[in-house]
Amino acid sequence: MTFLSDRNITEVRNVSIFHRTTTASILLAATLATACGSGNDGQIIGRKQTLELNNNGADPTGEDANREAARPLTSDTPINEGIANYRGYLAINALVMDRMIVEQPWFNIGYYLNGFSFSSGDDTVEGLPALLGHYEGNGLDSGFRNGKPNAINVVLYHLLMSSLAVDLASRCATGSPTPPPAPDRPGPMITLRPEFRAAIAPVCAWPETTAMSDEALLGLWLAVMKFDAPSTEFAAWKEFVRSEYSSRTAAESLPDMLLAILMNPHFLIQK
Amino acid sequence: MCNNHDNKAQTINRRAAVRLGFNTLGAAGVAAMLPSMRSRGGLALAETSRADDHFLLQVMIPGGLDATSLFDARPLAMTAAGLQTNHFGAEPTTWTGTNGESCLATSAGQSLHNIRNDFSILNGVLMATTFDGHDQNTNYFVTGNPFGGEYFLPHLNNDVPNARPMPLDYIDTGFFGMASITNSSASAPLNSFSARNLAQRLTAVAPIPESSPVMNFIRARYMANANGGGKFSAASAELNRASRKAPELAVQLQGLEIDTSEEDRVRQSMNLAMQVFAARASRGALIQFFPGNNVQVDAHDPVSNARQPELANEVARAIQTVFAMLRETPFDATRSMLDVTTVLIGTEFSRTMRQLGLAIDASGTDHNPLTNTILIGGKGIRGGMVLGASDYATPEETLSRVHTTLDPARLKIMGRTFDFETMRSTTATPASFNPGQYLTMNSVANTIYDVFGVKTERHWLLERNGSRARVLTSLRA
Repeated sequence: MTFLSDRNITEVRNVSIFHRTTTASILLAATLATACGSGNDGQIIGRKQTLELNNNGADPTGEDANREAARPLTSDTPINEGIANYRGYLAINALVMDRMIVEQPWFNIGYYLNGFSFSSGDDTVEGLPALLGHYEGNGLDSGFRNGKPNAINVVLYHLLMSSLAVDLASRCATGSPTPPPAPDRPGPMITLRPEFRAAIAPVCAWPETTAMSDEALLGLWLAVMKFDAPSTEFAAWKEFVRSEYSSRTAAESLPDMLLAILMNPHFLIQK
Repeated sequence: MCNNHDNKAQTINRRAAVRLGFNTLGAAGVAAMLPSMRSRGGLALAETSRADDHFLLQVMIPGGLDATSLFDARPLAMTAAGLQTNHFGAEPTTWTGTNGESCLATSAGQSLHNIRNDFSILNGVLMATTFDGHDQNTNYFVTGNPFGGEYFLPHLNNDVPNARPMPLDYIDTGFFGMASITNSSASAPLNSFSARNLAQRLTAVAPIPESSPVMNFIRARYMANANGGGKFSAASAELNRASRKAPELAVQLQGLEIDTSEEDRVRQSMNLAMQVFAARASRGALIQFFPGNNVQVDAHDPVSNARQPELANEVARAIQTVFAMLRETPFDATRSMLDVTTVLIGTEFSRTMRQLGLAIDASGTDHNPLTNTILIGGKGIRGGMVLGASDYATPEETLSRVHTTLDPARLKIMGRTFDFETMRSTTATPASFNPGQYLTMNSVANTIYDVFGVKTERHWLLERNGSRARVLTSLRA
């Protein structure tokens, strides 16, 4: 019997993601966006119907939230039972590459967790990305590990997504498909996909009226979320960004706007 | 032995010094007085003292460590009779507990004499008696079920009345993947390198805020999507709950100062565990210790088995390290880490005495879940005792029918029956198996529950629909 004693890896290796879905075009998104209208009337723009939602951005109190969060479990219910997993690190990485960033062999989103974060050619995930949910094991021992939301993976997802959002939003400052490198890291790392550049370009004029239009906002929403969320999610997001960032600049607003989509449960959780 | 006593005196003095020093000089004064206390891992002291400061450190030695290599040794007469492999080459000596019970210890076991009051020895602990596999017995060790289930450690964080749950139930410093644990959602497989990188990144990038417009909006979406009965809604509810704990945890993790240049894996893991304890980020820590340079704990082969003394000495050194670091590291102004940490050290099962068909000095050993040795100490536990014993102590011993039924080839030692009223093992030889008559892992887990104050309804059952395993009350400090 062999035991793995250490999985600390000190170099970033190439990423190999299989089973990619075909990239949807922004033109198709725009067409469907028009069909969906403003999206605040309960119409579904995702592929799943959800319950009527009523909290579109209020600041919830901790007490209400805790009461809400405690609801699904009883004292006799195993904590993991009946709770969906995260999509997981590899799937989220694939979504980002399909929708926002041109895939390059030396880059994966684990980069934002400080380099000790990669998947090798056989799709194994090690280091901090392993905490974001991944398949592991062989035979009877195989399964999806670390897939349940908890405080530490929320810390990590926020860390990752907030860094990604800053990089994506920095395209507005330069107009270049390759955002400038952040001060704390070497060299340009990412190149935006043409569809994503086309979607974010109108919103770069924020807070101009054109940038706040339904069309511009839906274009950005769909570029990131595609059809994974119901229209109520878009409606809530649209209302939030229009009200909260109406007098802020694009540089101030866009990272938060993107982060709000990237941290949405419909982006993070398996369905 | 004289040196051992000297060390013991030093131990007491150092621990007393922690208390006295903090009371009179404060943290800074003690740091100046005992510089090593602050230098190890750059540990920050807990600023306040809380009644619910109670942590569990579980040290796991995967592979099935031979109980006879430390505190449940067999006399050389067993080897001469061709029954028990033994590569120590010396007669084991008696180790007598403060409760009057004794066992035979090898030289590796006796090397821990200087810290004998830091822990109690549980011998003859039955594991999953009808399963020989690593996975099943590891599952049983941590969940009470050979097929897996709920690990006892999360309940120490979530089922103790009047104790505030910590953000994490436990950290797993070894990426412990063998057990099928169903309640691991608030755990983190975090080793020293990961923790260091995470702390650095959280320092470079603003961590998740307690409150901000965008974070409040994100939480509102989690709440809104929790309004359903399905798995997605349940996950949204968990996201909401986790996102409220995350800011505190981010600050706690940001403050970790991990020295990854430390080559000793146990020290490295201990540094991390003690830091998360001091930050009150996690209720427990699971450390895996893999002794031996290319020596298998799982000594099926005769070469590995021949090196068991070397391996046992390494395990003993690791145990010394664990208790020394806990004892010498302050938790807060008045308490050491050992004062707030319960320690459980063990492996998934012991080993057979030999293999059939091979000469006794050329034999490996196989799995034996009919006995195990577990060490337990720290907060809430009375140290220095020996509880339980195993049979086949001499070549002439008549084995019970239970033993010969479970081990027809007579290759294993088995835990003796145990009297829970007197807290002593007995020499009864029952004809049929009743787990309530034995010291089992169930009682060990329930004893841990007991010292943490976990609700009784959480206590492990002896068997399906059976009664709850009895607590080892004499271990209560």
